Formats: sequence, C-alpha cells, structure tokens
Amino acid sequence: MINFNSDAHILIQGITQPHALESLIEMRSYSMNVLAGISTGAGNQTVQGIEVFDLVEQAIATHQEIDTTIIFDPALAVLDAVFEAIAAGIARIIIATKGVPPLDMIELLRRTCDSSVWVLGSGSAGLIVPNKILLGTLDTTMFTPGKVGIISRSHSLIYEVVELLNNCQIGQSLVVHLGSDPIRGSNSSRWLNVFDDNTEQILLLGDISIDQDLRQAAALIKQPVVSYNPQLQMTITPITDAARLLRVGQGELDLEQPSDPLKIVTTLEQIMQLVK
Amino acid sequence: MDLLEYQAKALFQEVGIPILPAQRIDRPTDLKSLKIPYPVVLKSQVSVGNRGKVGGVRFVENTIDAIAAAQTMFNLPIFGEVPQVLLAEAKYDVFQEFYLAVLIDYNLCRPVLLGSSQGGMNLEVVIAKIQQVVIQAEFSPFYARRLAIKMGLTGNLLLKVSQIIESMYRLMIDNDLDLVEINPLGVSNEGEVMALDGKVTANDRAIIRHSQLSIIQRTTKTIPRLAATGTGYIGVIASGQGSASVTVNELQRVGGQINQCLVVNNLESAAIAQEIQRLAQISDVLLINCLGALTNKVLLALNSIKLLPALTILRLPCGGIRHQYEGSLPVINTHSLATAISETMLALEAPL
Repeated sequence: MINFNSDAHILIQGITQPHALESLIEMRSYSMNVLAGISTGAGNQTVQGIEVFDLVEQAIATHQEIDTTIIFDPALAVLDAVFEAIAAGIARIIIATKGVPPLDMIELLRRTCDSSVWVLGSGSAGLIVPNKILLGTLDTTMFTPGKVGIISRSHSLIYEVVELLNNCQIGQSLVVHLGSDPIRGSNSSRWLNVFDDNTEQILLLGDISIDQDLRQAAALIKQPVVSYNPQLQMTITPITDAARLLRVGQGELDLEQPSDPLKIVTTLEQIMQLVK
Repeated sequence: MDLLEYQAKALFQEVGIPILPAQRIDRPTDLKSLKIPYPVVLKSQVSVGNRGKVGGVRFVENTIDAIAAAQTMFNLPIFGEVPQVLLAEAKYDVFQEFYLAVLIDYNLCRPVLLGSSQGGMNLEVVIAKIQQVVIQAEFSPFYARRLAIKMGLTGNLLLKVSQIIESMYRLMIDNDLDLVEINPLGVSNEGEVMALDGKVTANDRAIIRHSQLSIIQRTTKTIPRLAATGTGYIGVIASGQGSASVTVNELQRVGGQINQCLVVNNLESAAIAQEIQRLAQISDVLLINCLGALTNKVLLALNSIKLLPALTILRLPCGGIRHQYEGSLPVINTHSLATAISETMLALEAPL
C-alpha cells in the first residue's frame, strides 16, 4: 500500500546536481519540509541553507524523521543511492535522474517488489497535490486543485492534459509521474488505490502496458478509470528480430475488452467528454 | 549500439561460447597471410541484417578468389553501409540450425530467454517454433535448461545448448547488454554446436562503465529523437515524447500530414535553433509544441534565428508567466494545443 502525506520529511540525494537545486527551491516555495541533502565529499557544507551530509545514515542520525528521498545522482550511481536509502529505512523514493541503465532498474525492482518501499522513476518528475504537496520537479504553475487524479508515464502528457482540464475549470487532486525511462519502479496499478474520496475520476496517461493486474486494480476502486494513449500512426523505430519474436504469443494487450473496468481513449476530445 | 559480428564473437569467445576459427581482414591483401585452411567464408562486417541476400557473404576456395572477392566486398554497400572490415571464417557443415537470444522485456521488466529449434534467416520459420522463459527472480542455470527442454532438446544437445544460453545470460548481465543473439547456432552431424552468426547490442546508457565496450564505441553525437516521419508538409517539434504523440495524433485527426516530428528535450538552444531551421527548409508550416523547462531554450533558439522560411506556430504553456515570442520572424504565438492545430491547418491552406 502506497502512502504519502503533506508533512513529508524530505532528503535530497545528489543535492549539488543542478536539477536538485531547482527542485529544492521549488519545493520550499510550496512549503515542503526539506531537511537535508547528500553529496559525497560535500559533507558539513550547506546548500541554500540545507545541511549536506556524505552518507544517508549520517543524515538520518541527525534527522530521524526523514521518510522521503528524491534522488538526483548521476545515472550510473542511482542504484547504489536507492540501496543506500533503503538500508537507512527510507520507504518513499523518487528517482528524478533520467537514463538509469535498464538492468539496474530490474535489480531494483527485484529488491523492492515485495516490500513496503515505493519507487517513482527513474526519470520521474515526482508527484503533486496542487497547493498542498510537491515532491520532485513538476512545474507547479500548471496545476489547479480539483477532483481529477492523474497517473502518467509521460511528463509532457501531464501538462497537455492538465492544461486542457484547467481550461474547463477542472482541477486535479493528485498527479503522479511514474517516470520517463523504459523500466520504472512502480506501475499504474500500484498507484490506483492511493486516491481517496476527494478524487472523482482517474486518468492514466501514456500507459501502453494495460494488463490483467491493471484491470483488476481498476475494478476494485470506486472511481472510473480512463486510459489515454495517443499512439503514433507511424513508427520509426526499427523492430529487431528478437523484439518481434518476443511478442509472439503475448498478443495485443491494450485493446479494450467488453465490460472493461478501464475505458480506453485515444483523443483529447474523448477525455473531455468522459471527464466533464 | 550494435556491435559488429566479429566484435560480438570476441565476446562469445571470452565466455566460452564456441565460435569458428576466424580472422579479421582490414584490406584484401591481408588474405595472403590467412591462417585458416580453405574453403573459407568472407563476411562483410556491417550492422544491418540480411547481408547474405545482397552479396555480403561469399564462399572462396583459394587465395586468388579470396582477394578478388574481398576487393569487391570492400566496395559493396550493404543496405547503404560500406564495410570497413571483413571476417574470414572457416566453413562449417550444418546439420541443424537453432535460434537463441537473451534480451530485456520492457513490458514485464524482466530479462527473457528466447529459443527456437528452427534458426536461420527466415523469421517466419523461427517464429513457428519460438519458446520463451522469463527470468523472474535471481538467475540460476535451471532457467537455461528450462528453455532448452521447451525447445525439445534432449541428451547431449540439451546440455550443450543450456550451457550456451547460460553463458549468453552472463554476458548480458556482466556487460549491460540489451541483446545477445545467436542466429544461427549451427549443429553438426556429430552433435557439436557452433555460434555461426551473432548479434550483440550494448546499452548506450551503461556503455561507459565497460571499458572493453567503450573502446569499440563509434562516435555518437547528441541528435534529436525522430518521433515520427511522413510524406506531408507539416514539421513538428515537441518538448517530449508524450507531447509529440499528442500533437501528431491531433494533427492527423483533422487531416494534417506531417513530414517529421522531432523530440528536442535532450538538446541545447543552439542545436534546437539548427533543427528549427532545418525543418523549416523542408516544411510548409512548422508547429513547435513546447512545454515546461524547454520554453526558455526554444525562445532563445528562435531569438538567435535571423530568417525562417516557413510560417511557425509556437505553442507555449499558459501556466504562471505567459511567455511568448516577440521577434520579427513569421511566428504565431498561441497557448493552447487546439489553437495551434487549427492555426497550422489554416496556414497550410494559405502558405506564406
């Protein structure tokens, strides 16, 4: 079960990375409680008034209440950063870094799939409850509070759809970016049951892996779920023999089935018809 | 990055996957000092497949034939790629051919083993017998044996093929590879197995932590990702993959035909300016759909451009500060995608 709350106690790993600084400033202006940063070799310094430590466990020794970490370390150092956070007892992990090697992410998934730890990313812009919670790098100026929940695979799709909603005076309850990298720490089905009664409608954006798990999760919750997936008509990625062979027997996953708990749409107009 | 066959085979050799005696040929005269007995197979080292059908594989019986064949092959482009290197390899009498591969399944987020008791160039034949095993938990050799059994192998062949699959898996993990493929794995009359052709794809993100792979890395530069191509008149530049597909999708719904759609979130403003100019040359209308952090880079890019040959519809987000382009280029500012699409279609009807 995924949980998070507005009084998150935040650690930033890789705090001296450029994007980390932007995120720190953004989160503070949202009154988020950023307690410490990690940057090996920069221990005992401060960044924007935030204390920097060399090791996660040192930060935890000073700030026992840390429960959330946002990771900005370089891609090849991310797996280690995640393991360090988990070893220190942090259970809410957002990997902002893009381009983490896929085998590292598989290793991470094996380590976290049965635990209470949740991971967003790699390549995640985080999550936002408009005017209340910001974890990560989402552009806060784009959101308005309201009753539509969003789980997205794509960062830019969030803004496309949110802008459309805002124009119709439809606000958002919670928006989650799963991550832009091909392998992510958690999928849509894991986040579906996080929405409470303040959410009346849930939108899944750009999730091409609609499977049985997701359908079951959608059937178990009160809110109607709509999956929007604008597929490109022309694909330019050459498909390798091995990739073709892999699909043999897997069938088409994303076709809507009769009595489907998920509504699948492919145009912005269809979203608006269903949400209004 | 795809490795060439001879580079892939060098990796195979390191992990004990049997390969034929072979020699790298950099120029035709290298064949004078060939250490492999004739008959020999010469193979163009190119990254595209199906080279056999267009003269990229030749059998030769003696040095004179070999040098003549090599001279031709060094000048023969294979689907546009001219080989820098040939591989001279001993000939092998094949009784049976298998297909084997290890790769990442991005849907399942797990490595998968693939095998077919019918290998070779005809993919439909390979597909007819394809089997797969998903590596759910920590790898252990039984996964490889499970695939070999599913392929219908028994006895000695079962042992040998599972050994090779296991080596392929270790190769992938140790080198951060996206794909290790052997096609075909030749089986002789005597039941010996041999990797006759192989494909290895290194992961571009992880390659720098593997020194032996970095050495063979060919030069790459940061280029925009091409999200879609067509035969139309609209050039699209988008700030992310998601907004690229939304833009193209919505354009196509109203009959808009695009020629290229680029995703530029990995570029700096100078490179974005170049792409805008290049795309404007070959399009009647340009639609730039730009969200979030890219806004400033795109505005910087536009401000650096002196002349733009195509009318440009610029869509910038309307959250917070309302940015817009205020220079002298033919640019129409808009804040909504719907307006951007209709302006684009309008501009097509009355070109600049």
